[in-house]
Amino acid sequence: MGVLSFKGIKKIYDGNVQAVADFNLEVQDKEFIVFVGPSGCGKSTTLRMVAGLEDITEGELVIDGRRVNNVPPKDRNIAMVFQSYALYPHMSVFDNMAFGLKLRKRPKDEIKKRVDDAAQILGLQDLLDRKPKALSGGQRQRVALGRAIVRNAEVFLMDEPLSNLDAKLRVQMRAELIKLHERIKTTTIYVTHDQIEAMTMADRIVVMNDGYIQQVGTPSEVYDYPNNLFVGGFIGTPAMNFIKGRLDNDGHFIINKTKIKLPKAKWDNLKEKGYANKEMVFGIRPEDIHDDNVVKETYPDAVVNFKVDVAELLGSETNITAKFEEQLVIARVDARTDININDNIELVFDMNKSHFFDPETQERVREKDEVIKRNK
Amino acid sequence: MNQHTILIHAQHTLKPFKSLFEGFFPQAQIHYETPKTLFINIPQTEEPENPEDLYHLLLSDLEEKITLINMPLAGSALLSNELFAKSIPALPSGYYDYETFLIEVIKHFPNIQTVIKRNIASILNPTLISNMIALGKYNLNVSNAASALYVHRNTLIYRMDSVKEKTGIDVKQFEGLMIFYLLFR
Repeated sequence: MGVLSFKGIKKIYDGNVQAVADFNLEVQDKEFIVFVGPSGCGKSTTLRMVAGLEDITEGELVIDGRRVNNVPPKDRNIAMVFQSYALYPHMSVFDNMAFGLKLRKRPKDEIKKRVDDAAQILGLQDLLDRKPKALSGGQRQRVALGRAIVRNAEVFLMDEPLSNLDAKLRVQMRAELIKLHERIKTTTIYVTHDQIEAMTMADRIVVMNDGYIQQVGTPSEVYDYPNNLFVGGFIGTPAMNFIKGRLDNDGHFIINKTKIKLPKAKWDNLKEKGYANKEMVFGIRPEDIHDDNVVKETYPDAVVNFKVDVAELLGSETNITAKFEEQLVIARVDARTDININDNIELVFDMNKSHFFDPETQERVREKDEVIKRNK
Repeated sequence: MNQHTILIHAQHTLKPFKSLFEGFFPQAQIHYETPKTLFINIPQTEEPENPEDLYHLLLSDLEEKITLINMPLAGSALLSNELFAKSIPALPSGYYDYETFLIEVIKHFPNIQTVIKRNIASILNPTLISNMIALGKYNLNVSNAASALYVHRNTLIYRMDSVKEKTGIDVKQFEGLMIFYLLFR
């Protein structure tokens, strides 16, 4: 079992620097949880508190029903993988993987069995006699993972394990880590600042900022229903567009001289919650801004004239950075569309996919019938 | 990497460490040890291993709070081994480069701060110290600081290198310069 329970965990460094504030989370057995957020948001500190490398200032950390606040790291039954895929240069792959077990004075035959099993899972059987220098970056990373696997720990803690790899290898290792988790099903807490890693690997994502949890949810929940402006802006590449404006009393969102009509259900909901005639932030993902005529006909009142600032052809699609009413917006359109800088174009917002945020609280206004589809 | 010293402190035991160093850093020599702290001299090598890698390896194998400080050889001029060994356990565990470690020591131990200040003042002449403060005042901009000091920028760069050579503190880094600011400004 690998069930973790964070109850009001706080980390305050001396000098009153608050790294983690009131962290509450239940991690289920076999779950792959990803902590994501910008540098300094407290994600690594939280991981280090689970590992026992940082003291918990306040709150309770429970692993498998046992309070572990004061349990030393080696008695927590966890295994750690760090971003430097460092290995002992003078030891063979086998010895590198076996070293932690030897320190714990496990019997020789047990060590051999565990290392062989881990090597088989990771496809390292033929490399066990090699020294780290004779391995490629990807192979070294797998050995580093093997060092964690042999421990048969209840929980894996991974601190940006892929960030030292080049882009191609990172994609490959990401897939391998997903497959590995499918096979060994060990509860994993994975820390990254890379939201693509978070989206592709996680059962659930924990988005953090300034020491606070901003949102916990499946990748699709976090992407489609961001709790606030931070999550909307952090998850997704390019980020969600935020456009400042005002709602009128008649179901329109007004940005200077541009008027966009809201779908009835959205307007009714906003009106009921008292947002009529209020300043709002309108959020829309780049892929929900279209240039094709079918969508323009569906939402004739959400068609807006833009002036193209930059057009980036990515192969399968084009990212257009365009300006309207002095605000920059990024739209992702079909690569076959012929667009040049300084062109005047018409784009349309898919209003059913739009979000409205309260500029004061920064929170998203929830829909009345918001049904969150869980992706797993 | 030039010849340098690694300071390792473990909360419980250092026993398993010793055998590792020979492999990780060939020709390494332990030159000071207490029951929980080791000072190891690492000779200059062509393909040096990264001390931070060693820190992560030890952490994943031993699973206890470890502090590892990577210190240039000149660092020993600022504090005695005894004072270094005394200050390490009181700091949050982790990997420190030399400058960050000194800042932590200065923050936590007013009495050791005095010793460091006195030792720097005895190693460096007052001009060098005031030049470093000027460098901080001009936001690490060597050209601007040099013209304010009426010296050629190469002279100031030479002096910065000289500070590093004598104290181990790299004043080309923000943290390094901050030490001078904390102590002498």
